[in-house]
Amino acid sequence: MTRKLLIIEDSRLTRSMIHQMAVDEFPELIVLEAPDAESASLILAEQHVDLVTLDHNMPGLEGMGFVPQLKKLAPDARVCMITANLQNETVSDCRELGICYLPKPVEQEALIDFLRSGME
Amino acid sequence: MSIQLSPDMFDAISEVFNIGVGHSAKSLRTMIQAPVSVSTPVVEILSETESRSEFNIAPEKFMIGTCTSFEGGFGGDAMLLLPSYSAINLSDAIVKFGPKTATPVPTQDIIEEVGNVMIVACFTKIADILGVRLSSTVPIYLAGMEDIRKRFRAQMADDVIWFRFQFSVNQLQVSGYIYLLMDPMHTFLHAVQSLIDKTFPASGSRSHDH
Repeated sequence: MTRKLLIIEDSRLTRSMIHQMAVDEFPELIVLEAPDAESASLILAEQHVDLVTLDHNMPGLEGMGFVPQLKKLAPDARVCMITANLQNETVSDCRELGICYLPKPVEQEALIDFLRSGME
Repeated sequence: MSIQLSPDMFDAISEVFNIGVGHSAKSLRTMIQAPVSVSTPVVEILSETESRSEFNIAPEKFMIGTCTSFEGGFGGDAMLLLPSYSAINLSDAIVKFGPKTATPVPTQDIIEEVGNVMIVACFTKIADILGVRLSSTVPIYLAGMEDIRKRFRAQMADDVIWFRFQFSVNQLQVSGYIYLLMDPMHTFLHAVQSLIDKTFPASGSRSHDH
């Protein structure tokens, strides 16, 4: 079954790196990109996604603030916060919200581990 | 200068920044896969006039950069500044040695993300050490000295704690600067004082005098 990954990230660099890392390891993966929460909502309203990477510090709604809406739109998706702002409190918030977290700059192995967990 | 830092306070601030700088350098290293050298951080309290004068001696005539603002347990602004040749070399290095991208990415986007990652890594570590929470703005791209000066002037209405360090990647001919302005200064000093009080509860250290 083909899986879909949605990358929600305002930086074109990081978005493109995550995209490439993902398809290098999982060529069959369909990758969608959104530069902010608003664009992501439009995609999620129309498409089912299995995996989401989510930046925290974005224009408009911040990543953490978007999680409740994201969970409504894609209740089965596995979500990973990818941020340079990985303070202890951010980590606690991620745990409370039941989402994974990875530090920026993202390392390929860690990203692949997350993606693999949602591919099974 | 209207405030003198006590030795305890100066030591604590220097150490906190030192650790923050280490995380910043580590983040860049991960992006470019090359060793990053950092200078010893410089911590100063400067008046508005002194800050402007200090900034005017930035060694390179044409620089670009990014600026990010912070608020929460303490606040301030941070800038990554790069001579233009370094920005190009750094951007090229990330394209060449960093993780591949799915599509070509313009230099400006690369520099914005480098600034975001380096600055936030530094501030985040400092916030964790001080036990406070911070949120940050999306980075603003600064194209040239006029943009940079305007941004600095907007922040310098009063005395500031000014912190800066230089980083370099010799094998890539990259060097740059990170400037942090803690504003308002007193909230940052209070956070550091709390750390000192927790660490040395019986010392009764008096850490700054007006």
